[in-house]
Amino acid sequence: MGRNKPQGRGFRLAMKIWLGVTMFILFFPIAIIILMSFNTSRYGTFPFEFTLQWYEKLFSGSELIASTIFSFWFSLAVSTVSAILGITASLALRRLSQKWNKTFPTLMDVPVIVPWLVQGVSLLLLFNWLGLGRSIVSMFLGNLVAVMPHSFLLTYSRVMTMSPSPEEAGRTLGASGFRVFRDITFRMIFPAVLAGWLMSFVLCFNCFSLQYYLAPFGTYTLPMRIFTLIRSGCEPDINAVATIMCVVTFLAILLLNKIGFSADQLFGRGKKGS
Amino acid sequence: MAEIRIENITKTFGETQVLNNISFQAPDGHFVSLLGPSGCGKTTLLRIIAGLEYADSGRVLVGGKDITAVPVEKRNIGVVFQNYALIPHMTVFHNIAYGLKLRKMDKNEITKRVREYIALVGLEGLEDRKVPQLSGGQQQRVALARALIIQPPILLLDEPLSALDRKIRGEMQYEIRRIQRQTGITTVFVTHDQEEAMTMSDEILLLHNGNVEQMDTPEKLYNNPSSLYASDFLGKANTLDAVLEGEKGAWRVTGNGWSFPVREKEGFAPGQKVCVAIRGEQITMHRKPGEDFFPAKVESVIFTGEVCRIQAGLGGDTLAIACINVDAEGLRPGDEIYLHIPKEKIHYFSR
Ligand SMILES: Nc1ncnc2c1ncn2[C@@H]1O[C@H](COP(=O)(O)OP(=O)(O)O)[C@@H](O)[C@H]1O
Ligand SMILES: [Mg+2]
Repeated sequence: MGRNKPQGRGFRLAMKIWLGVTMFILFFPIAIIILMSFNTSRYGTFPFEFTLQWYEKLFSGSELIASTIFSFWFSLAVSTVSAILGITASLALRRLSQKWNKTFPTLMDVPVIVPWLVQGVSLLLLFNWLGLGRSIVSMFLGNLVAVMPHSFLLTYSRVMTMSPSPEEAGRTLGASGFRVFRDITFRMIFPAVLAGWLMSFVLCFNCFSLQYYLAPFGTYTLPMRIFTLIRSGCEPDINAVATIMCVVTFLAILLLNKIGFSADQLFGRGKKGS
Repeated sequence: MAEIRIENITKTFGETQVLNNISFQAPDGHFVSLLGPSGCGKTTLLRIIAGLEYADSGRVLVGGKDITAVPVEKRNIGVVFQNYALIPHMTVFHNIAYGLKLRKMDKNEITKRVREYIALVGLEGLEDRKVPQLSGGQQQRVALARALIIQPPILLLDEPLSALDRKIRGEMQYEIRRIQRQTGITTVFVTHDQEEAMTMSDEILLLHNGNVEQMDTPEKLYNNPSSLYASDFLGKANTLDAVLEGEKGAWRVTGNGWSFPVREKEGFAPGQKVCVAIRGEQITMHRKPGEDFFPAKVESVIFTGEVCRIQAGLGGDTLAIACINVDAEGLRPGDEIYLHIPKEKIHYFSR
């Protein structure tokens, strides 16, 4: 195959080295953190001596574990609501006119484009004005605004590219609107919904800036906890938590790939060809 | 089983009028084709009957009952879509069983009935196949079984064979008609293929720009087209400009250097400009002159197996003639021939 390529051997070798360097820069820090989470030394020094003590410490009453659990449930709630809103918005939009079908998805891009830092400030101002201030509700809504576009746009592109005729066939066979949704529509869009849901979860889990702005006093999500701990001198149980997060994220991405979504679609917001 | 009656259906999408006051009737047990070129509104009309689209005005009656305002899922009409529209994550069995499941039928009864219909469409052994593992023809059979199993009073098919290759298409045409006869279900079949419509139908409804051009049996539609459009759409005819001439009882059409006797027709009068439609295979060709024969000059001869296609110069016009091979033996370009066309085979329309 490569025989007809105009580039010479040297060029290809250079590209391979470049790829290697890039991969190294991307993955080396993560590898170090994972390695250090199993290292006995508190300050990350060598020689490497294997230990599980940081995981022990983490699971025996570290503040980190409480925040992790909180972050987990919080992200789960946000991403679930985000997935539901993504489905309902997509299906509603399919019925609307061409004009709305152009405008609305573009509007949904705004929260993706505006930096979270800026969004955090504006949301805080809004919630203060509404009298909600910093609260769980504010934090929930704020994170929802930030992640919803992702599940919406993934679901929406699926809804708009799939053929409506299986659903129509269902209706001619006697299925009510609800049955059509349950038996046909939902099953057809499920991979996109799942992808959007996982994306929302991961993004919400990592959304430090919004949480920092909007969390009520005394509530710590995991990123907030890590932030405060690092400022006051860090313990290697942070490495242990980071490792767990890496593994979970890795599994999520693996799952997404398995159901047919490439990173390109996810982070390019799945708007292929529209 | 029931008759279908369509009354004054009109439909516009935005600015474009797609259906213009369509009325027709399909008697109980008949197989009616909606025939027309792509974009003439066939699918729209079918979707209105199915309830997937609403007409701006007009009524749809099935078995004498007005169902215009009944929602799709309550209409109990079998529909086979152009792209089959099988539910992708369900197996063959579950696709076919879906309509019965929605009717809350007993499980054993469902299994029994699905088997029956799988046998009817000839899909034995494929019950557990997933949709993507089926060929086009097989998907079509599943779609047909799925539509028929709910035992609807009428069946609607939207170009169900257009995605299949030629050989399977012929097979499926036969199968669909066999199943339709066996079940006796009133059927509306959409197609843009005049040959398909002619082979399959009891009656053909010819649509043109959202209007009913003509509705008749295939034979009548072919032999007695009521318009130039109909004569040209069903098996390309020769169309020539001419003028009506002659006394009462002896009308002729006279064109650019030729003239043939024709039957008298209401609403026409000698002196009127007309357009003449003559089918190539209804022209008989002779080597010697005779009464009411008109001389022509052979321009080209093409043998195509069973038939022979001849282009002949008739006065200042050119006629395409089709005849069986033996009749054309030894014919060369430049030869003189004599054409006879029976009066009743010459159709003329105002222009
Ligand atoms: N949902 C729709 N919105 C706007 N125009 C439509 C719609 N459906 C069909 N049309 C138009 O109506 C005309 C007839 O379409 P259709 O019924 O699909 O024709 P056919 O099935 O005979 O090819 C076409 O010009 C098509 O563009
Ligand atoms: Mg069509």
